[in-house]
Amino acid sequence: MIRAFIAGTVIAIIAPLIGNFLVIRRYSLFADSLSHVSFLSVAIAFALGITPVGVSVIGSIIAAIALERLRVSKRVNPETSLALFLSGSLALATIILSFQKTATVSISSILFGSITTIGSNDLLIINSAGIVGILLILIFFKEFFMIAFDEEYALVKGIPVGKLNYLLMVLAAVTISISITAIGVLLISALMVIPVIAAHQFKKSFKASVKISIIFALLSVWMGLVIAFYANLPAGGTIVLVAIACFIISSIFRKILK
Amino acid sequence: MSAINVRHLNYSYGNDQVIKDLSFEVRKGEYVGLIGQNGSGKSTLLKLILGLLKTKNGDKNGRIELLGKPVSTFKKWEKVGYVPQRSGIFDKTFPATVEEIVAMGTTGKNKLFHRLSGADEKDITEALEVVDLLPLRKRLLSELSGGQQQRVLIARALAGKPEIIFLDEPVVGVDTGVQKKFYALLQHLNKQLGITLILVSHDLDIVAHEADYLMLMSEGEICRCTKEMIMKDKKRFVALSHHHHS
Repeated sequence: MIRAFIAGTVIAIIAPLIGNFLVIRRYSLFADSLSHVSFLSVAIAFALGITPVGVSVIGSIIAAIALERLRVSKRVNPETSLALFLSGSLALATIILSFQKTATVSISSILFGSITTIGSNDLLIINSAGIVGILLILIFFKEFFMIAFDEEYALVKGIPVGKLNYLLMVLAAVTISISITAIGVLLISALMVIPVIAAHQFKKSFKASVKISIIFALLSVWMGLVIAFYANLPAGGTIVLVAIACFIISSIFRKILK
Repeated sequence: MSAINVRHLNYSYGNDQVIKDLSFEVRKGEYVGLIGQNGSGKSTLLKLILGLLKTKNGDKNGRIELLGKPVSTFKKWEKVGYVPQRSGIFDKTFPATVEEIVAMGTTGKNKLFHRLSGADEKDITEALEVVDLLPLRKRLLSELSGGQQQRVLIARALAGKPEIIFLDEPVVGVDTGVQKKFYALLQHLNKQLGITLILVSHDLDIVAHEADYLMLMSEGEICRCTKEMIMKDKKRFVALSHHHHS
């Protein structure tokens, strides 16, 4: 349980931190697509009998770079390429998994997460990758913000827009990969997006919105874990439901304030 | 001292040469209107000067100097203000305050890793004072009117203490009454603060009235013309600047 809280806390900080930049760039579906690529990577790891997290990190980084290349090249509409990756990797994963008759229990834990059974190796990966990710986002916060608001202006100001776009996508990929053991493939993108849109209900500055979204994510993870533990519910699902509750309460709060 | 110095510039997209052996100079403190119809090469020229596009084969296709330095090695981007079309960038749901947008203007001298210093805060406050938006600094950009948003983008350009500001069709989508105030503000920046202004527009009447002189781009070539030249042959100039423009 202590491991679950530590892992959950790191994820609750980095997921909305990156989610904020994805949401304001209208790229929320990106997290969803990458989580499905992660699912494929995990399926491959099962088939090969190796640790899923490492394979998943590599797989989703490759996918993130490919997606960003497609976006920059403008050959394919970004939304179309996301849908392509999402359904393509899900399709391939189901076929690979169909050969693995014995692994069904682990598959459900990959889909929905099993934060309460996180091993010490997983925790080490989550913590180290999570902390590096958080630091990188904070270092380039100003630049990511400028690029999200107006890419052309950022270019005029001499910001290395292309490189930073790749960095953001890779960070998103790593965050998703390290989170799937805890939160699950189907739910991690929810933790990147829902606390962010809940925070936006308060109509504050960008910096304040980021802080509020992290508070919401922390609340969701901590409360979700406690509720799941005592009510004997799956942790991932409970966490996301608490996040949705935060969003609903924030929306009502905003209406009242009006 | 020249603010912009362009010598024998050529640029093509594939086989389509959009800029042909272009040479001109803008001196510091001048207020220049750049006009031309769509496809005349004015957007390409602007992008080349701002370093968003690069000439192929280096110096063979001409040289551009910005504030005395070749654009390819130019570093002081905070000295270069840029005001884009408001309509092109504005997203209603973007959660950012006036202050946060204006703070972007100080980036450049800050480089990476830098946090806003006290001096930056002072520059931001001064910039907001010039455009008369200080009381609104904590408000969200999406809560402001079109004219106010445009002034935020001017303040962003001013926050870096620029020597030159490029304005690309800045008043598109802003109503006429607000436009008047906007042009008065530009006069103030140019005449009182001594900032060089390059105003890209398709509105010949206003630009001819506001700027010191005009540069008319047509088919990749440029002609420098005074107000008197335009008034003499207005019909032809209107045709050259307006044609095809939506």
